[in-house]
Amino acid sequence: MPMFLRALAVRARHIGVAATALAGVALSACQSILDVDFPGQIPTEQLDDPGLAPVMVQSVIGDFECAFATYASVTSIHSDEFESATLLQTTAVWGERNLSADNGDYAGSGCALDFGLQVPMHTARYQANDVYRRLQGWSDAQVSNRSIAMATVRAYGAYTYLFFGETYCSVAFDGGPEQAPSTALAIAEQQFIEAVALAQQANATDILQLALTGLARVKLDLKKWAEVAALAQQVTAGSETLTQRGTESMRRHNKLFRIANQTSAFTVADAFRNLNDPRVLVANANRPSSIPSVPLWITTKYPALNSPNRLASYREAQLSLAEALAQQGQVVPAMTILNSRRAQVSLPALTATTQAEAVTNVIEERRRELSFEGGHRLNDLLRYKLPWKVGTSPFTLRPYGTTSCWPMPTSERAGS
Amino acid sequence: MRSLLPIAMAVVLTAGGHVLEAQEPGYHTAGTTLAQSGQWVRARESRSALLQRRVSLNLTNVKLSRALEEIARQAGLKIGYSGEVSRSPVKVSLRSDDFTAIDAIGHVLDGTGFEPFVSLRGDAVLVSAIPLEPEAPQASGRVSGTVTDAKTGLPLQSAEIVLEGTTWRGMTDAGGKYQVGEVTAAAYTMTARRVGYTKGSRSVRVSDGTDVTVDFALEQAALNLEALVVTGTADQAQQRTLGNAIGRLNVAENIVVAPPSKLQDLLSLNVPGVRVLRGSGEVGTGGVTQIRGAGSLSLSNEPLVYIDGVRSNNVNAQANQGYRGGFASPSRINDLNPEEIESIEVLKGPSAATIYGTEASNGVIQITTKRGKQGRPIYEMHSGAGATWLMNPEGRYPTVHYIGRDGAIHDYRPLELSASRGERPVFTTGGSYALGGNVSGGSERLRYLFSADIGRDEGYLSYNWQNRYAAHANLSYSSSNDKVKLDLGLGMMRSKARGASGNNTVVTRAFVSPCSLLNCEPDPANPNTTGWNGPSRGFNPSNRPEDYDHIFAYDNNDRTVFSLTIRHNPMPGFRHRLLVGPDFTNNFSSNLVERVPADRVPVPVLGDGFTGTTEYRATFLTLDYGASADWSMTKSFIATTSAGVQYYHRLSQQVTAEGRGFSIPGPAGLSGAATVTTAESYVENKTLGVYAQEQLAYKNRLFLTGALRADDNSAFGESFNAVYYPKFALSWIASEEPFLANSNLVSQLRFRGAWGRAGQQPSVFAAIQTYQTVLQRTGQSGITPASIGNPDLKPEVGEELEVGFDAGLFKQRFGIEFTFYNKKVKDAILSAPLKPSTGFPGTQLTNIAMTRNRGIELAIDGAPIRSRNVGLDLRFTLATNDARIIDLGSRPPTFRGFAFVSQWDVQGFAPGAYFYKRVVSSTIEKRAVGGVQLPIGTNAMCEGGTDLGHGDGTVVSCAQAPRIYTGKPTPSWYGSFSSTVSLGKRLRILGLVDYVGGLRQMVSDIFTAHTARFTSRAAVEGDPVLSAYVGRLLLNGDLSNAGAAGLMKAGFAKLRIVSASYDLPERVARWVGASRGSITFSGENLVILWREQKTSFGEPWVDPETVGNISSGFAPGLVDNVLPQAARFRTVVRLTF
Repeated sequence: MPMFLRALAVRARHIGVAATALAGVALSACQSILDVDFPGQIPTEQLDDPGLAPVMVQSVIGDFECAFATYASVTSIHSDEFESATLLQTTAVWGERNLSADNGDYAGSGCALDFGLQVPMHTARYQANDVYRRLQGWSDAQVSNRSIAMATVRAYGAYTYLFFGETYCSVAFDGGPEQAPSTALAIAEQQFIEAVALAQQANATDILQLALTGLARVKLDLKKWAEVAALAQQVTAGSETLTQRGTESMRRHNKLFRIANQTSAFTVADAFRNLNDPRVLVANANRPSSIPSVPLWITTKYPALNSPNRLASYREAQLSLAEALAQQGQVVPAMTILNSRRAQVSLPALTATTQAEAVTNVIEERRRELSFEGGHRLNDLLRYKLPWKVGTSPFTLRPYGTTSCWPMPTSERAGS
Repeated sequence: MRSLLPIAMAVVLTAGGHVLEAQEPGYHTAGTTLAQSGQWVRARESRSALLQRRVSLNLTNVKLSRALEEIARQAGLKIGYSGEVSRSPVKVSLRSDDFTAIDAIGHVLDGTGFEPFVSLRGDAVLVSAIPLEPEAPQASGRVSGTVTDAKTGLPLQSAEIVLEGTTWRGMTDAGGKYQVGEVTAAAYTMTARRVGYTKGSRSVRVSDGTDVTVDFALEQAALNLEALVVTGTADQAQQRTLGNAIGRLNVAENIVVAPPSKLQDLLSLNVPGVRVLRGSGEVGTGGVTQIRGAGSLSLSNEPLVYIDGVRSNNVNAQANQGYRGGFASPSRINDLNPEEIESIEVLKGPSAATIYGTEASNGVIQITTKRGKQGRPIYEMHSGAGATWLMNPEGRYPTVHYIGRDGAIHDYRPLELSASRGERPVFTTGGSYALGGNVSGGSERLRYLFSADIGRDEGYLSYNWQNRYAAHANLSYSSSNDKVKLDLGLGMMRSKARGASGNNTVVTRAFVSPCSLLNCEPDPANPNTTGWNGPSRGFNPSNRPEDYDHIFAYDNNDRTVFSLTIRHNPMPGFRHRLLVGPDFTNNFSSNLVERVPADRVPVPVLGDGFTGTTEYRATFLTLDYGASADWSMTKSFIATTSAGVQYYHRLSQQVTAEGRGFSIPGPAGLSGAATVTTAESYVENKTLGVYAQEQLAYKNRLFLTGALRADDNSAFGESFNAVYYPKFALSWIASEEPFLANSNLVSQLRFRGAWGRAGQQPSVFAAIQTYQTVLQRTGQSGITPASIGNPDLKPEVGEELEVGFDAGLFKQRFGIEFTFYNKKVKDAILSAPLKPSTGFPGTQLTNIAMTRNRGIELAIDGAPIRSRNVGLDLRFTLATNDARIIDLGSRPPTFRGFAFVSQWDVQGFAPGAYFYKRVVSSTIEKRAVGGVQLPIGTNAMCEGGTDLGHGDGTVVSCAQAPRIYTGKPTPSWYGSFSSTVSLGKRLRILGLVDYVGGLRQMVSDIFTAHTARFTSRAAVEGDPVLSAYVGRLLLNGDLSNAGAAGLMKAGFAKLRIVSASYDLPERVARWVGASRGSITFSGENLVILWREQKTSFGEPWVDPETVGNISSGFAPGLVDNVLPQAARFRTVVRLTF
């Protein structure tokens, strides 16, 4: 072998030994030397601890409440309760029925932001299912009040499916295929049934009322009138479930207050002003909206950032009952329920002689009683194909779009 | 009188012998007389293997004997020397990593009168004095003088002075001065030489008993292949050995000619391929640095920055309350004080930066701070003062147009209106002040440099300023045998700035959104208190210029950088070093927006008052060990083997608290806010890498390098263990081949090529599925999904091929550096939208894309005129960049814009390219908007073609029209041209133009004027194209396409610097006790020579450089609320004592 090549071979051997030694030292140290801290970031594996169950249950509720804050405000704006009062198109689109599948806020924004909807609702849904699965895997000895915990996460999780079923044109879950919204309603129905059973088993009254009201709502959507009536009648007088709100974090804000009162971008629509109905809480704010020439009208149902939203209530259940009765032709009992409530707030009684009139009255009472609450009005517009606002938006002067149910975001189809 | 050396044996060296202090005439070595050791031949003609051993020298002003000792030590020889040698006054300076022993001995002995000989057996070397003249007393005189840089006038240390044909020689000290004593009276030719400069020759006649002064002003060599490079190499290396083009910037020289306001301003003007998008003209902010384009789609495209080998904080857009709300933000690289920097080296891509491993894909910038030089203490002081102003504000900001109640179009100019009322000027002239100095010096063993600087810069808005304090200490130690060397550096910087963009730039907003429609015009019912006669006075109602009196935005920054380097040469041919150093950043920023008084139009959201504070702490820790060994394989082949381990630890913590809602106008704090929100972040990352490199050198003119780096990183996914980066490089010094050795045309010619890889690590938490804690319910913290993670995630791999050549022509008067590069980013990480139904927020990073940046870099240096009184130096640089997404995997195009900024990542186009529907025509109709009849384009027609592709020239309805490629946010070409005229010995005048082109920016200010405020002439008059965008926005809610109204070609050429520097006559310097001094007058940003596009539909863009300093993930082409570049004038006086 020539000297040059021999030298190269020797050198290569030396390099190899040196490199191997260095790499060996380095990589053997790798496992510990590359460990890093993640304060504030919790690897998923850390959640495999039954001792964390109470925190997880509260987290399910917290994520739901955050998503519901957006849902309550956006459904209100998208229905006929609010009008856009800003020229900023990205904001005005919510009141102009111009929701695009590409809308970044709608599809991608987080829970703390004004219009973060899709991701937060799925996060709440995922959390509920995930924690429910974990609770199933743990024993009663490991988790105290495990049945109550399971009933709670099941009920809140069922509500997320309910909202997907009520409002979306199509749905997909956990990265799965696109499906009809009825799929979501079916899951909601099943999960509410489980929640009711678990709550009854654990004698958890509050959760039971929530689950019963929610289950009645699903049955309403599914037009299972008899079952609606049976369930609604089980909801006890005065019961209601409120979502907590707070000022400490944007996640916990009441967004109906924030969006209308603080950004001044939406104003209560004419159809909800001057109704002389104490249940429709609106007022002239006596200041301009984002469009200086447009006065700002706000809902006084939520006087502060930390005013709670109502998720479910005996009054909702009574309206569900009235609707179910009306739909089954029981006009008088239905009107009795409505007029009983109207008498409470000193409004004159309504009359109806036909089933259609009774149903119309129910829808109108729902419009007032449940105004600015939890998507009921939008659901009614969709369920009964009520007339949408059409023509030109009165304040932005732009034509209304054609959005009715909400489209599946492009990111759901194209995302990873 | 100095006697000439007699014919005598002076030094004896033996292969295995001993150091001898030999006594003439008989030498004994190991018991053998010299006469017995064999016959002698000139060593330069010998083929002895001993003499071909490689040595690495870094000698400064050392005695002959010590230089010979060092060579012998490294080559494995023992040395002895006679009294003549040890007594010789000759001092030697020599720096090179790649000498053979005989070459090194030759360089040391050149001109000394000593000649090396080697025995025929090759086992002994001796040095003999050569007879020059008879030893006899003669008349003599003394020659002294100064050697300076002809271009800058700066003194040159370590320049060698030789009286040709004699043994007399001298060496310049740190002040550039030399002295040669007892020179025999006669006529001589004197030459001055220094690495990096062309040789200077002068004739001199020495008379008995006289002192003669001979000064040299050396011209910089157009090409300097001998320059030492410390970046991207396993050890110090000469540029000739590298296969890459290394950007080099002599900061110490540049700041004398043109003092910069911040470090980033220096970078892009001199190094082809490096571009700093300066962004805002706001004091305290920085810009985006890009080298050879931007290839990463989701990660940072900023290069790594090292200070004296320590990886440093280079966050280019740090979240900062002091600049909250705007698109301008500080760049931490500007924390460094240019006065403390000696030089900067730039590695431009993966092929050069391979041994820096993961994170180095975007290139590396190595900053070397000043070091003390051997000699007596030298005191340098500089003092500067200047002014900063906005050039021609009236001409920059647009006229406001509006449709009046009479239906006619009216206009007004807010600035002129304000001035006519005698109101407080919006723009003022800010001051600029600097004072600093350093002391340096030391012995042969210990050198030192201490420096301190203070400064204040004021912007053209009275409330925008920055105070800076900096101190630096460097110590360099060499052991007595030169085996151990220590370098210790400690730099501390503190600054406080008041930002002008906290919660949006008031001034910018004041102009771009002054009013809307009828709000501009005074109401006839109350003409003195409405419209431009109202409280807003024609400015934006919510952002009047003086409103900043009620916004207090501060940025406080402390930075400490420490470095310790230990170099050890334990045996000949082997050296290793250990470097350790942290870089600490402590930043505290705050912002207070007072509650708006009741009589004011409320600022949206912040009208009730806002306060925010952010504390940011970052630590970068570097541990770097490397070793190199040389080995002579044959006479012609030398191998150098290197290996090393590097460990980097990066940790940043940030806590933010914000409060809103104060009870009354005026000062307030967090504790008084109605709502308080807090946030925190903690990011930690560690990298461990090992590398090995082998370099083969053939006859010191052909170099082949191969290297391999292996990295593991805490951010890699669980399924991914380590990454390997290989590299190959070739450098051939063709001009030293026999066929070119004597060329009159080509002084130096080098061909080079390199291929290599380096990485770009993903975000720290990207690989791990995580939850985060949040406030879930009242008083209860909970958890929520945070990141879905990607266990398969691995780093992006930058792969680059570059080839080129360097040529020094016409005796180094002209130089050409040419490079072609092709850089690909493989496994490019795409921030793919996550399916919302997964339940996790945000996006998921996946390695699926590939991008390419390809182009050339050219630098031409020339000195066409060189005479005693006039000199002209020219430099021209040009870089091109063709950026393209080669592959997006199976993904559809990805939107990466923002609302009206329609930017997309589309295969076949540049990252972040703009795609808009291109309106061709429309029908103008008047529609009632905001109380006036606004012209709106209906029935708009657009160009047809492929959606997210190219247009085809057909015309279709805009409703069905495709979004067509409309440009890209990154430059296609950029560079600079500078000219330095030297008049006489003391005056130098510099002019520098830099230019850029081929990019577009989406200018929010213009977009707003056209389509949201309707204050542009085109909007109120009804332009058939513009009004179509307006129409589609108002009638169809098509916000994204309306952005086309604000899309601007952002190319420009600016006369960036004009300066005149004058070296003070010594007698003037002596007035203040100084040995020398200079004064520099410089102006910056004085003239925009060319703009690729001045207006969009008639609406002017205040400055084509107003680029937002934003993170890579956001719409990279959006410009919003950015202040134009300031014009500056400065005077700097420098004195050396």
